[in-house]
Amino acid sequence: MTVRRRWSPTGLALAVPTALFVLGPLGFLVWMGLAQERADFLERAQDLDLPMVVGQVALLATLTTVWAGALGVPLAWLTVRTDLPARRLLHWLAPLPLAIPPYIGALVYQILLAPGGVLPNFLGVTSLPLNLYGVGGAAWILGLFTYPYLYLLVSGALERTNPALEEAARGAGLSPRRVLTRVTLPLLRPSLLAGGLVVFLYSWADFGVVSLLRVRTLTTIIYDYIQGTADWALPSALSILLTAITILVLLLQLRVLGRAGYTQIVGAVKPAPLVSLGAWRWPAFAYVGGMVTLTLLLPLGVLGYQASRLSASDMGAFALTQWPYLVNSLWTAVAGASLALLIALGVARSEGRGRAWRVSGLLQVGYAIPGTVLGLGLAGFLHATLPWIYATPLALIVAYVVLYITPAFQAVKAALAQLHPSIEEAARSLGRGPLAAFHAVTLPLIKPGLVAGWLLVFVLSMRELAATLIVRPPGFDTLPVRIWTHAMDVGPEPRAAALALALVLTIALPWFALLSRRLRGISPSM
Amino acid sequence: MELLTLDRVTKRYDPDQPPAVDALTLTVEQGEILALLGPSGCGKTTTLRLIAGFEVPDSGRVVIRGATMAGPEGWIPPEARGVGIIFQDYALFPHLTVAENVGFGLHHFGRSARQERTRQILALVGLESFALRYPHELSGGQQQRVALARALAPAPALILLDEPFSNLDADLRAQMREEVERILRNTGTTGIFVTHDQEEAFTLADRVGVLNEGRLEQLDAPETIYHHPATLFVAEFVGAADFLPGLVTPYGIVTELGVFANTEAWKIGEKVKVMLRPDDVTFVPSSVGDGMIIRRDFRGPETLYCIRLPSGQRVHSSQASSSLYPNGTRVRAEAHLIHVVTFPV
Amino acid sequence: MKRAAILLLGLGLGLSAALPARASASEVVVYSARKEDLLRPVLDAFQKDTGIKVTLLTGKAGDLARRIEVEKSDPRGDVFLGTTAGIAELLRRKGLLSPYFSPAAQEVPEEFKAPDGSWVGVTGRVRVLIYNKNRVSDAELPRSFFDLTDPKWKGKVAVASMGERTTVSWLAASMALRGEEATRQYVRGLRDNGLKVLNNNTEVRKAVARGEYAIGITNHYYYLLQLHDDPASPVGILYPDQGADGIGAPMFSITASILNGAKHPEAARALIDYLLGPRGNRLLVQGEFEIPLIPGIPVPGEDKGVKGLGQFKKARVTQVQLADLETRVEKLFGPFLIP
Repeated sequence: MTVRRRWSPTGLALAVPTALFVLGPLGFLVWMGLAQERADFLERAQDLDLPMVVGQVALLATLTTVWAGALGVPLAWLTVRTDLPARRLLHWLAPLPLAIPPYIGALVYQILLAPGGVLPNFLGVTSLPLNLYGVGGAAWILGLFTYPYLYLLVSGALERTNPALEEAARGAGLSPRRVLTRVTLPLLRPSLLAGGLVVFLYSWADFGVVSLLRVRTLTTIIYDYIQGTADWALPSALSILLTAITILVLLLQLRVLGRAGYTQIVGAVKPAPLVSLGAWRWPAFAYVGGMVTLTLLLPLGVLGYQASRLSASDMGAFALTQWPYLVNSLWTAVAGASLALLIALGVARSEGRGRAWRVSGLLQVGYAIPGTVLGLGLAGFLHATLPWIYATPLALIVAYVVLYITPAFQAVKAALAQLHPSIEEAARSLGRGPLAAFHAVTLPLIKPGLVAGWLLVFVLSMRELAATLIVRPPGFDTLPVRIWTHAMDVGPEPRAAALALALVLTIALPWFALLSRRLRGISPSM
Repeated sequence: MELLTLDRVTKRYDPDQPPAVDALTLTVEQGEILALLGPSGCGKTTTLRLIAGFEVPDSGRVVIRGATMAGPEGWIPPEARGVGIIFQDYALFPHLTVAENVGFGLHHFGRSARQERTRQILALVGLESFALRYPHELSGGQQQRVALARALAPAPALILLDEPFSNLDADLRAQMREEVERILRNTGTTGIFVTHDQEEAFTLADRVGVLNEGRLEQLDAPETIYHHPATLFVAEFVGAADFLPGLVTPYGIVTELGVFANTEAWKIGEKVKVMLRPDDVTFVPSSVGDGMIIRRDFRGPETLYCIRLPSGQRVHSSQASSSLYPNGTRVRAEAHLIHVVTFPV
Repeated sequence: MKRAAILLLGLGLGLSAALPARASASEVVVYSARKEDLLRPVLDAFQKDTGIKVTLLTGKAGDLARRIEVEKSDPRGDVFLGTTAGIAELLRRKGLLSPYFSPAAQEVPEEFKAPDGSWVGVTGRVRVLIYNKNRVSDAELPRSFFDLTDPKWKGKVAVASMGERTTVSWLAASMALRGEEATRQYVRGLRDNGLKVLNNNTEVRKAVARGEYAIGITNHYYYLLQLHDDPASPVGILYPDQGADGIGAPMFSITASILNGAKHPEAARALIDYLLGPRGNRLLVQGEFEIPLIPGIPVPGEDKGVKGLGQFKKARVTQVQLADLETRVEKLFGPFLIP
């Protein structure tokens, strides 16, 4: 029997201010956008060739999603369901490219493949027949560094799939191949959709990669107007357009997922038997190895090589001057991730059925706002309403929470969904109050999910550049801002590479910690 | 002594739907075992949750040991009610060992007292050697015992069991049923359990409450429920029954299978239905008999025959499994009623 | 809960770390659109010589202008350093700048100063063409910006986007000297001739050095930066429109201004005096590879063909005139000046 819960006061107290911080910046932009004369905007929109640009971004996002799926889904199947050599290690390595921000990935491939880069120089040609610049190249890079989102969701779903369903299909006379296409893949549809959406929206709102690889998108147009002009109206109007399109995509996803939302959370499912790859074992290993090379070894190698061009003493002195920026990044990301998780926990726990999705759905809008747009709106909104937060590190924390409350919320919800309410009720009947029961039973059981959610927000916040650039207080730079300062104008020189390496390592360390904990099997419920 | 009283307790989840529990009134005596029996959706689990404190009644009163737990003057949360509960899925804490699960409700005990009590309870359920295992390392029956031990450990006045045996296979179910009864009786614990299985309710409970659509249809000893069902619903839900049309005459109730005493003083000329249990009906094969065997179900200890009477009415008869008559056999059916139970048409 | 307590503690610490950063007497907060690495030496020297702490916020010009506008009621910055006069002039009109006639600015030519003292040019840069010596021979070199619409340069020319203010100023100069209609035609011609718009001037110089594009429309110091990066780069510099009928090469200046309501006006004035003073300006010019606006300071890169003030034909247009036209350029050509 399901228990219907209404919004608790705590839930509302957390959700309403968060929603305000999501809507406030958008409201500010609408306000500024209204200053634009309509005719003038239409005329300029025509000059900007907006339909073409929107079409191009849609193409980019689609290509990226397909490419990320082509990378992530077979990898998930190979590491979870087959006797691939070193599958445990690969399962552990596969999500790591998340630690490399795509714009750093783009810088690396620019060094390697762009005209005048390492490979063309080695081959003695000016440029390669396949051009890195353009939609194709951008999709290639974005796919390489966003496929872990799909990988994580799909491999998790594969681990949870009840093998009895596949056995039933075998019993019904389907060949293993047909079982894969008729049963296994359709069962993965919810996680494929969710992961695909994350990748799609990411590429839709990306700025770093497309600007480095010379693709004109709505974000680069907005960015150029923000950077180059003091104009409010055009960037505001375009920001609203961009956000509206992304919200539309989100709504579409809600409809689609609403119909395909069959998750099968079964407590104690016996693990599925491994598929024997036979003669394909080593070719498959080579394929996976190639992916690890492209997404991890190559980028880290190039960054390491670039950084090693600094002499040891220079490196030491440089490290000393840059240390405060690392500290800035760390504590704001830690605070942002913790706050996001706490809010997500409060909202997810008090969320009932029916009406509840409206506020939590509102929180999700934050994820659909590109960082540049959010930064612009948030700066204006905070200055107008909360001047004591404006231009303080708190503004950064607010930005991280608004941008990344969605992954936190999803992680918490997934963790809570695995718990039957009777567990907490059992604790209550044994004499523990609501808080004590939560602390003694629920918290330990959902902790792995919470830790994963926290880490995801931490990683994303550590990487955040676009909004940080706009809302950071004077003198309070973060690591990505320093990389941008060194790399965007001067190119990927050794100091930028050293900083990028430091960023990647800072992000990767807690990831290692989480994954090794998971491997030790912290909880049977995970 | 009354341990639990429900006084016109009503709970409605959805304003557009009938209440899940509708003005339910019942009392449970100290040391008694009560079964709540009913089809799914009848409100029995909701009743349990109202007693445990996981639901707040819309109106009415829940009283345990004379103290009001829910009512107009206030509401006591589940943790302060001293009520143990065993869930259908056991709800064992997967991150705690068996001993930690059992000791969970003993948090206000001292360390050594807690260990002692845990050991004692584990001995009671025969799981001493499993104290350091984790729940997922136990079999279903063992998990059930841990759930029982955990609920018993704080020595609650009342234990609630929600479909406690539904996850076990048949022979384990019988064994656990016996064991749970023994432990409840030995510890003098009052128990209320919810089930849709009448056999379970009859063997375990002192009294059985039959629920339908949130209302208590009948609350009586198992024998009374079976032989003297208060309503047509109870008669149909509990045990198999056929209903034979009859006419009330000065000589009794006249039916196709004979005349029965008008024990319930129906007015002359009224039409009624007479309840026939399969064990009330016998037959003898006869070439001039007007009944015919149309179906035979072999059930191990007994064989159930379905007989078609001349009017087309069907009645069932339970016979020793050694009897063997093929379909189509002409028979003369008879009904021997010790208690005549009748319902209006 | 422990977690929440730690979090609150963290937030508290962050807050206390953030708040005292305001309003210290010997501090100056600089909003700069200049490349940080190039500006650092002079700011470090200022800090060392005066004991005034410099807090630097590097951003793009438009970004900073918007920030200054948002902060109008409670300015957080003291000094604004812009890449051209355009944004500074815009800020002046919105009443966001506080006039200051630095005694050190007397030697700066009038055309590089705001008449009311709201902003002052501290160094200058020249709009030039750079070219890849392997792709263009001396004989083929264009003489003028306006030669680049010639089909022989089709697809061979690159320029930085509107994200770089100097691109806007460059077209403003054309508007000032040749009129709006001619400039429209010129831009249309460039577009039809496949002019490539890149993100910024750094990309332009690198793309030309690599030979991806034969010619780059950029500022003179990118030529020096490229040689500084890699002395073997096959790049050359060309001053366009130098003939008798040519309009000359436009010049833009880095502008310094004090924000209206600045929290540290004394320190802000001291910084501007320092940037225009002999030691500061020399460091600034050297660090930025710019042309000095004040006599007596050596021109960086003279040995590599860079010319100082008065050594080349300069477009006859003042910084105020350029600034006036920049908004019009944005409106007319903005969509075209995006990568």
